[in-house]
Amino acid sequence: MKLNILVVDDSAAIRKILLRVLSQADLPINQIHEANDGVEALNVLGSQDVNLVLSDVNMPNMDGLELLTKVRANASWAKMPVIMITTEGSQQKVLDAVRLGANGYVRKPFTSDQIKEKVLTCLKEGGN
Amino acid sequence: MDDIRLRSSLLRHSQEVFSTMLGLDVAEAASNGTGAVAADQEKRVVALIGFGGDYVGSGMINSSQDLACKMASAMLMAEYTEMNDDVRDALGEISNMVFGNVKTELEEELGPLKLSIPTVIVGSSFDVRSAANPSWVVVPLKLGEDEFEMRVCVARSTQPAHAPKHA
Repeated sequence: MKLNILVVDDSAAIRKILLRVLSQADLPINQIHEANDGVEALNVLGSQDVNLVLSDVNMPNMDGLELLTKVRANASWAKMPVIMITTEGSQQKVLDAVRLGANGYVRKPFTSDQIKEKVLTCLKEGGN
Repeated sequence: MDDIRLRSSLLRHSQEVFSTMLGLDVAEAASNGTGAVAADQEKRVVALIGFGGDYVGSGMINSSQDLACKMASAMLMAEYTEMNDDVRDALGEISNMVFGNVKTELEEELGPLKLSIPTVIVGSSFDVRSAANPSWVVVPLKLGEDEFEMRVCVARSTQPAHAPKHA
């Protein structure tokens, strides 16, 4: 099965880095979609077949936790793996994300290996 | 958090972000802490990010434009020789990562803080001041032969934490 991944971050720099990391990882990727915030992400999810989401937390318009809440409230996306990537590294923020249904949490700054490992773990747990 | 610990936190997280995301080593520059870069008013770039809560403050990266281009080139693995959206975005994200992690440490003592979206200012001959606290903790840094600064200031808010918003 070929993967369609959605990368959500208001920083074009971080999106570029994640695209590079994912492209160079040994993953069966079909397409990587990008979104600037939670609102754009929901539009992509509504129009594309996405298997996994990597999302920032602190974004304008709709932040990552609100996006996560809306994704989990939609039956079509309820079991889709969502990994949060953020500088918000406090224990409380991690617990908030997990409580809302995040499958993984990566703190910025991150290494390529950390991203690859988290994606592979989520895909295995999700059965993809 | 006293100035010494704040300085240490800022240095540590700056080094971690530059090492992990840019593959570059930064070291503390020998300076009196008054701001080596501030004397060079030509072609500067400043990335600002705000903290809010019971305490308020700002974090700032103060760099020459040439050095900002070198930072973006290393971070995005592309060559940038002049300021553009990619360079501005890269500097804003570096500030987000450094001060986001400093904020997490500050929260252990000061309680929950919100972090703003970064603002990047490009220009010449301008000064930056914080209305909340005029005293910045300054960490001068060296990247190869170039120098830049990380600055942070934090002060107790004079506004009630849950003041009603203006209409």
